[in-house]
Amino acid sequence: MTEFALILAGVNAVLTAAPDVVAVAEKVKQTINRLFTAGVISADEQNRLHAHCDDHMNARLRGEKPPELEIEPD
Amino acid sequence: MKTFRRTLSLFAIGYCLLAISLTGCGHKTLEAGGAYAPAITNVDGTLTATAAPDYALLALDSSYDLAYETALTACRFEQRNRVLLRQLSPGIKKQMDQVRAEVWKLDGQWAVARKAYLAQPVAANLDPIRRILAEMQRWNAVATSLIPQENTP
Repeated sequence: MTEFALILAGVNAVLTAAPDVVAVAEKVKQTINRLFTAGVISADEQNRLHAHCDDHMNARLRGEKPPELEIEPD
Repeated sequence: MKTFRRTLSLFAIGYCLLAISLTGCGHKTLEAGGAYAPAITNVDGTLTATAAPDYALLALDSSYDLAYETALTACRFEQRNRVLLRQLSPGIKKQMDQVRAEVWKLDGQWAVARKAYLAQPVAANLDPIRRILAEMQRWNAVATSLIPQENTP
């Protein structure tokens, strides 16, 4: 790969990572708010988190693998 | 790429702080009637708790979810930018595949441990979840360190 192609690929990498980073940043914000700043954790907030973790747990127990964790051949 | 690595490192520090909450610091009130503070509604509309609020599970669920999402984000970043990353660090795919295998294995252990706790919510059943969370944090640190800095040859 040439130097120029590397630079373009680097720019593309940052651009494609941006939405992922924003999504995780939002999750960090929610978590910190939930555990450190919110005075009372509402029933709705509790139900949302519990349902999300239940869905994740049940999917894992069924063996559903997210595409990010698939090991692709070299 | 440096920014991405720094951001993920910040997340790693973030949920280390969250792990502190598991020891009881920053204890919050749970509204009665939520999934972590179950209650029944009486005929007069008041709520009566049916079990003690489970703040420990809420903190663990929240911290694990964040740790898992961070791991997935690092794996996704490597997957989408494999050609570039291989130029900077030829062994990265093999190393990230090891991270993927460990994250998948740990996630399976977490699902079993959480299900066991939900079936029998005693404090001792939270210990495996805490151990798995600590392991997930360790693998996240590994994944973050694998992403090359922009000045890496």
